[in-house]
Amino acid sequence: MVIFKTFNVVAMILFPVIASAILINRHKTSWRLWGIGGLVFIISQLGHIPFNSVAGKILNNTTLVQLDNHNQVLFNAIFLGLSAGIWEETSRYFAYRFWLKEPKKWNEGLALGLGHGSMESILLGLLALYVLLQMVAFRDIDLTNIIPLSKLESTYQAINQYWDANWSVSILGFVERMFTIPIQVFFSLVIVLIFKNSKMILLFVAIILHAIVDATAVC
Amino acid sequence: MLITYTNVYITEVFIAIISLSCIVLINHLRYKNNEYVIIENKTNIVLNNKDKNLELDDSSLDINDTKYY
Repeated sequence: MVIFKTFNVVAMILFPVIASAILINRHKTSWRLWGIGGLVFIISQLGHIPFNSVAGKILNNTTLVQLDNHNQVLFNAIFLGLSAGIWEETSRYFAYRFWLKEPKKWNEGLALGLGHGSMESILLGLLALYVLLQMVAFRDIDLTNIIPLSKLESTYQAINQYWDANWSVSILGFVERMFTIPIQVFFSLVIVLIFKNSKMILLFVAIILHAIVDATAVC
Repeated sequence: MLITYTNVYITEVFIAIISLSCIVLINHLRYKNNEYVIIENKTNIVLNNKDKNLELDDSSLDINDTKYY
């Protein structure tokens, strides 16, 4: 099982870089735009993650917590989807408009989207690597002296669940990233189309489409 | 656990379908974006052929001769 989990981590980090290298070379675009696309993703998360954290704390003190389980999942899916859509797409729009002075070419949008999706995949790959190293370290040791007694059972449960997962679940992170990168490229191209066609409505289209994709993942 | 895995697989299939749709749309946008370039290249080919192969003799053309038009 370690082999599949290691493959998952390595593929999440390397696949986007290799795919980007091939596509950037084939469509004669630049690594600079790829890097900017990646930075735009990081910048958007600097606002997105704290916002979700603060909003979560505020919403936990409202009557929304009294909703039944099904409606809570539905609310979370819509809220988190819209949050991701608004933060990521508006960051993309402002960065492309003021930093890149309104890119209009297809291959520019391609490089920016590849950078955005690749950076997401690389960061999630590093996170998966951190979890893998932790799980390997915790697998065969006695945790009673490390973990508080109240959390011991849930920790063992999490470790067992991690190692009991079958191979297909172990590589799902990579599979999902592989499918997500084209989606990110498409969103970047939609934002590039705003500058090409002067249609601001495309920003709302990108936000709603992004929200639908992310809401599906939450459900 | 089985139910959780099934939900995860269904989600991945949905994301895969969206992803494939996006690839189709990306290619569509590429064609739309390159439409002008393709026409421009064709024009260049015609001009190049004219320059290199046809080499029209201007003296044979009579600008006032309208019988062919």
